[in-house]
Amino acid sequence: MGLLEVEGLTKNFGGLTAVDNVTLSVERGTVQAIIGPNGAGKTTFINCVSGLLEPSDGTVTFDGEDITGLPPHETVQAGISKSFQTASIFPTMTVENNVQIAAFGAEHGSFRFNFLKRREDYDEVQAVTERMLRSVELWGAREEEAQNLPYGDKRRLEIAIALASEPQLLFMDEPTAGMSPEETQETVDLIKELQEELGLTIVLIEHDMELIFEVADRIAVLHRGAIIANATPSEVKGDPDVQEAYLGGVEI
Amino acid sequence: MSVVQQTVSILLNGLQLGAIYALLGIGLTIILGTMNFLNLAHGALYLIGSYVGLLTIKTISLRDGILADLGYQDVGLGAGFLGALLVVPVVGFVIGVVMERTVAKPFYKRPHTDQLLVTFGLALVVEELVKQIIGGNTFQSATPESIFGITTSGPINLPIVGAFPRWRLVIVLIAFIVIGLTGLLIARTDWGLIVKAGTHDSEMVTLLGVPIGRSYALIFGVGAALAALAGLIGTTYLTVDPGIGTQRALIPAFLVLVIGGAGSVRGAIVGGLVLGVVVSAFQQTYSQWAMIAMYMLVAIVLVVRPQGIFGSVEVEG
Amino acid sequence: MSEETTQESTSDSGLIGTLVESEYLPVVGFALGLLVFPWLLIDGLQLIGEFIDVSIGGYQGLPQLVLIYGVVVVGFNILLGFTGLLSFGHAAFFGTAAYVGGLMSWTIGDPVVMTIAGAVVATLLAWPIGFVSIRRSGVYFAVITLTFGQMLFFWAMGPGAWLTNGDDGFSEFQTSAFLGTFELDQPVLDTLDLVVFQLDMEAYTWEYVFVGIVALIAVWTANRMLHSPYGLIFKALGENQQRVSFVGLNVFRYKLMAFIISAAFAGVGGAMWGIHESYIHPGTAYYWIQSGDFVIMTVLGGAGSLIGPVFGALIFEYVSNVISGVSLPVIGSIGSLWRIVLGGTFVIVVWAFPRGIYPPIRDAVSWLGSLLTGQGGDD
Repeated sequence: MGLLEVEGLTKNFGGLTAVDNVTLSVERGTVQAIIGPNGAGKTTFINCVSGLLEPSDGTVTFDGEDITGLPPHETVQAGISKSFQTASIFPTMTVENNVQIAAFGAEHGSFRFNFLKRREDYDEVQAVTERMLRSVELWGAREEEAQNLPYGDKRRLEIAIALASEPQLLFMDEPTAGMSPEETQETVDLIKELQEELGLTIVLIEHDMELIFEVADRIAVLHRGAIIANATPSEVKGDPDVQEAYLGGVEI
Repeated sequence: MSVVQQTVSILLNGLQLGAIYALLGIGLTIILGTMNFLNLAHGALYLIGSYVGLLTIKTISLRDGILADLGYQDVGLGAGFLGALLVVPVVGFVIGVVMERTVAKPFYKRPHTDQLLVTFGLALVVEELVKQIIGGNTFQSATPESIFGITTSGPINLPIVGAFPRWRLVIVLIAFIVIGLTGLLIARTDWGLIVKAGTHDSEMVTLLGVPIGRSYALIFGVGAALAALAGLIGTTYLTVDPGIGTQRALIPAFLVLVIGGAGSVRGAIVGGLVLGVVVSAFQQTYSQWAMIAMYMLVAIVLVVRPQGIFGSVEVEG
Repeated sequence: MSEETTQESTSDSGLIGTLVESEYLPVVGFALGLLVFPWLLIDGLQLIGEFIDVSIGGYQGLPQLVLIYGVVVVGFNILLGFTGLLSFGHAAFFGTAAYVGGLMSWTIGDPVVMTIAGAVVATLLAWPIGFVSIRRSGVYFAVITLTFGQMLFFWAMGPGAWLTNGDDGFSEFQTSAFLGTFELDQPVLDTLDLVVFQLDMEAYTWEYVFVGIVALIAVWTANRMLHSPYGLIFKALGENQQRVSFVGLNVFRYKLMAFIISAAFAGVGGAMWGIHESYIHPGTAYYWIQSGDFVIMTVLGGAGSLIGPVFGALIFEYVSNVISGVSLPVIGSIGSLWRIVLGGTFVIVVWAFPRGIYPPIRDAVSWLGSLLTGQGGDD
């Protein structure tokens, strides 16, 4: 059984079906890409799994546990983390604090802090924070106010925050949007590193096909809320349905 | 009074209270629903409407404040209720438009707390200015004797309840005419489309060619005019003092908003009536608890159905 | 202020340097300020007033009042400036604590006990009120808190009058001596002999000492809290609430915690206020204007910094109690104009200086500090 098992997931908004009976299984340690034209329902799908939206139907099982409809903070506690499309950081807080808070979330999810104990005295949390920041090469900038970082760094901070929750599965929602080719390549390397070194399972939404073909183990194609293909990159390349959906769009 | 008599009396009074609450609520909800702007100065508009109304209807003698100190003892236009009916909404509208362009616009992009704070500050300043200029004392209400030859003051004999103040019925009539007109405006005009579309689809509406900026000013103006009109009506049967803005107008307006649902005109009407009846019921039975009951109602709504009767569930992340 | 230079400054500039950089600066600064505050506010301003022929010195008891409100707003700011929640109903906790303290004095009149009792009840009250209010955000939250405050007002005036004495006000405070021996209205010493002159200690009553100690504890506690994980979470909630839930933290519970903490502070302040005033009325204890005043003080002084709001309380109380009585040459008596001026200033501050007046003051102190320690001040 896969780490993440989604069965019959459906999301309706009034008359509009944004996610249509999606069934997907993501194996541990793999990179699962989800592609599709804009409006296909990719972000809505992720929001249903992560708990931001409540699914209209279907189930979501993670590591054997049913997490359907759980609120976001609980899915994070279960082991799923998400890095946002736009860098969702804490602007006036320092880079270090940005990651620290995620580390606190992971270590002490429930209400167990002593409110008079200084932050710096939580060693484990400090260790995780430092490790995360070093891995995205932002340790040197840790005193900077997060909003003052250049855009590329903000994106990396975003990823560091997502990782500090020590997830088993990471959703990455268009991580390279707006990045230069060098930055994109760095992100590719990072994804590979995360997969190999941390054994992280990754679900990746992307439009950059080169990137996807480089890192993805499997590609799911979403069209109007439904999955029209879910297979290895080479199989997807040759799939006529996929080609039709992308007529005139992205070249595969 | 028998139970039947009491019930009818409660309903009648509730209707009249509710009509005013609805007027106030509509003004607030259309502004919140379209521009997502939280206007704590709504009560100040009611206040202005009350005083302008008072000064238009009759002359009053001033004892306190700057005008009195400067020698103006008796001020007022003496134009009667009809005159005020013309003047007050216009004044309200103009102030609303000016407010939108000067205060609201710079704050659209700022956090909601800032909007609350600035309008709160504004409300305070207005209240204090009124107190300073006209004086802090309370003025008596100005119930019109007659309109178009029909007597409007004094009691009228109704079935079941007996004597009932004529003017209160007139108020209900006026309020519902205004509400009806507003409803028509929303249904039939371009800017009405924007009100209906609400914040979510405002972009769509702009694409349809409706100028947003001007429409926002108009919506604000209408909302303000409604609040001012409510103030004028208030003047005709309640006392007037600088403190009425918040307790009598702002708070009920927001309570109506909560009960009815943000952005919903229907909700404001229903919410206003429900609130009016509940308050009226307590006023006639356990009057000490009337105000408390009003707040209790809101708390209950917030727990049981936070989005209000006609509101939509927000995706709160 | 960069923490990276802490290592260097310890070796370069010793004690002063470490102090300026340390997280305890606000607390120490506050403690030092407490020592000279009454003198500055009353006698100091009196002296200045004599120069310009306007009577602007504070009166006895004013320093305590400032500190009392100071405690309230420091707590209130944890909710507003950090967590980003605007409550218009904190008078509910303030007033309740005052009444509870007063009632407690019939059994035990020690101000310490009264304050604790008031604060405890206020905190307990905050749980259900917070629970219901936090379900909504933004203006709805503000309105709900306002309604709870108003509910209590009407209850105190009407059905609850058997406890609160309603519209007549509650004046049966049987406050006894602080810690059993120090009468609140007695000065600690009559005069203090400093080498150069004799300092009149009339303003330094035991009440001031009591309030001062409580205020210092409050500031210290708030400071510690803001440096704890809670502080981080509160600030993060104010900046990006959605992200906070996405790092696995239960947003609702933390907001509730911030709310309850701020209510506790309001309770402590409220109980002391009752003791200080000895006569309380629902119109000042519970009415929304009191809650509104807390908002004004906090914003004026500087939401988002620990001590800023205290300055707001100082300005507000000083203007309303002293300046309002002043007569200026051209305008005549200022009287109630102060509210317009304050209101206008408030609007300007919200508009142009969302961080209040305190940051510029703090920046000036920091600059002075860097001058003293010889650091290059580019902060």
